[in-house]
Amino acid sequence: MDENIALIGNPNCGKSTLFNHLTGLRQKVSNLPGTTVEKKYGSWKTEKQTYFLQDLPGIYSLYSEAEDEKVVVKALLANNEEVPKKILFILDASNLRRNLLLFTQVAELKIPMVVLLTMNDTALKKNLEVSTAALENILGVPVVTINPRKGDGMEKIVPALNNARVAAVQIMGNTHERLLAYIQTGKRDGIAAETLSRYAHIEKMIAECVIQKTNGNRAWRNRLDYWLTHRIFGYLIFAFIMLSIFQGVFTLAEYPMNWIEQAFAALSDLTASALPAGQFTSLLTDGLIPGIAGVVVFVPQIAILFLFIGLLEDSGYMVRASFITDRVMRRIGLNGRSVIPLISGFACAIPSIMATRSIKHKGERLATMFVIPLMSCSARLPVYTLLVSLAVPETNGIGPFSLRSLIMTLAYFAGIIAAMGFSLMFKRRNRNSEPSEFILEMPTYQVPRIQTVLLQMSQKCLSFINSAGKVIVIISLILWWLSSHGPGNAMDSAEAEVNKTVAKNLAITSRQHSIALAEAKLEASYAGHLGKFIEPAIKPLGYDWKTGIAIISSFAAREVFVGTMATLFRGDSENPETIREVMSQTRNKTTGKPLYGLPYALSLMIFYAFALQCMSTIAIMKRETGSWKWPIIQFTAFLALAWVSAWVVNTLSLALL
Amino acid sequence: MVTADKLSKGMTAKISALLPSPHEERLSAMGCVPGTKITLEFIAPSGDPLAFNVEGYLLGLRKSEAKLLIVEPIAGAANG
Repeated sequence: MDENIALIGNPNCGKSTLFNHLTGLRQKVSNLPGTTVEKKYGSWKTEKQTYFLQDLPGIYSLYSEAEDEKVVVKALLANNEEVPKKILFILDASNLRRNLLLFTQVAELKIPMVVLLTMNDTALKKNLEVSTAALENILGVPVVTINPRKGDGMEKIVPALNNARVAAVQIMGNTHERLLAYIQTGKRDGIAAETLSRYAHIEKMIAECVIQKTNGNRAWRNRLDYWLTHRIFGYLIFAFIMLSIFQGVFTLAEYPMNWIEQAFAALSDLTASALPAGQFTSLLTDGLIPGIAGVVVFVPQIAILFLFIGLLEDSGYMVRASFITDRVMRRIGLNGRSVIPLISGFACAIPSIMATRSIKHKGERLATMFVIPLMSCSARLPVYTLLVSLAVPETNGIGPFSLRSLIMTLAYFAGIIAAMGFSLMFKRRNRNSEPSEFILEMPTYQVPRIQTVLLQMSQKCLSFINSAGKVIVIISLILWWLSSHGPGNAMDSAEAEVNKTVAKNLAITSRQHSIALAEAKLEASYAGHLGKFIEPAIKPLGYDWKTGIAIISSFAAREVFVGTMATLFRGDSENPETIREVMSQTRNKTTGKPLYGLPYALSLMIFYAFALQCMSTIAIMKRETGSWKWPIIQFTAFLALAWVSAWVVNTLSLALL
Repeated sequence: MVTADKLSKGMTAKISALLPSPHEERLSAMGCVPGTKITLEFIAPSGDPLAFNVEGYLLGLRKSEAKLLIVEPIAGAANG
């Protein structure tokens, strides 16, 4: 087996950059068995051998409370081959004192270590010079200076690793036993005092190895923070950045999405013409291909959103966003730290719910997880797009804004307002629990590392395709079967009925004929029966049985809506039309008005904005909260809210418009 | 007795003690221990939280958390 090496260090010390540099693309993210914490593994190939490298979360102290931080202690205390044979300890030269605290704790676990000194350039800017030789002498382990961003000093790591030693610095005894006791009982007696005595030792160590040229503590200072935390400009810039991201996602994703749609339509045509007509061809062209298309079409939006979020996170701005919004978030019962998961919630609730692990306060974390699905995720975007383009003419507008984008914006705001309402309820619940805290390091601004950001983006996209993809393909296959098969010979008799009517009326074109035929067949199918079954429950909202089928299948995942509509409104496969066209031609049989008009679209949009129609979210909530209680409460509450709001919107818009 | 939340922007002070609180360990792990010099660098637009330079790095603290740090302002160090 490859030698097991762990990377340990403070947050923002260059650890992940180093990990990416050493492993390249040979890495994977996995969930630890029995816990909810993600762990990164990778294989690191050198000339002579391959190492098994673990990237453990950045922490300040082994006595941590947050879920994602406890994983480090668990990995170090593991009682099997999981425990690292050697440790690469990353030490930030510009924050030596704080970094050495963790070093002295880890050193006492008696695992051979090497120190990699990073951020020397930043330290020099602060007029601090760290003597490597002196540091090596004091710590008793090999020390090498590296710069992971530039890739400098990488060749020195392997020779140092071969000389890895148990550190000479041993301040406290029985650290292993005390940590075990802490993990098991959670008792925190004496930890603060222990930290103090560690710092007393560290002061002496620093005096021996750091040369402070002048008292240049404040020589480095970032002008950017002056503007980004400015009384007025701070919020303006925040709002501007958020708006630009959404604008970017809408406009930039449009082109690749169109290409994907066209490519899949062409593929479907090609398959239909290449294969003989029949059950199998129909399964491919009406079931499987539109199903896969429904997943792939989202990838551009998700990729772009994660790209922007990654850039903001890596540059250091996201932490400023937490900083300037903490007070507002606290008022509604959340934490400044909630802002990053909430913003990511506009991309996808699943990684966002996992991102709440950095919120230490259990109540605030629960509140954040609870409201995340109310952020309109990118799966709602195609639903909104289809509905709004169906009901609102493109030309209408108020001033420079098109009516379409205004209505879409309203759907997003509806979600945000509902989220505020729910989190206020949690605030009351959290009133008497543990005290809330913010204490957060604000890393120095840096130019985002493209490699890191792109890597993270592709990992997130792949996990989306993996988890959502399976569900969507399965659902679309089931749906295809349900909509092309019916009880007994109901389908055949429905077809014969339409043909009889058509034969009498010569004015009907062949296209109208095929639409009428498809509709009659659908109504007679199992899916039609299912839709009719729930029709009474959704009729007050202005929906018909076809929408009922789409809503039912959406409970697996919202994006299935568009695919379902595609399957349900398929016309003649030799003469394919987009769903939009067929839907807009459908008339109410009694009134003759468009069946899918503005009230329908508005009501359905608000329904989709609130309802928790995502199996993956429910599954992840169960995993993160450890029980079915919260996902069930969440599902019920959001469904009730969705139904009532959709009813109000439909009733009002029917009365007013 | 001056606490860190009372400092004005740009002012430097030395921590002399930490008041007992559930945040004590976290604050000390982050380097806020007696003897540490801190400078109030930025204030959030709404007046809370505050960002301190703690021996070379920026640390965001709520006012209620800064209140736990008893400090001695250092005269003349504001522009140091």
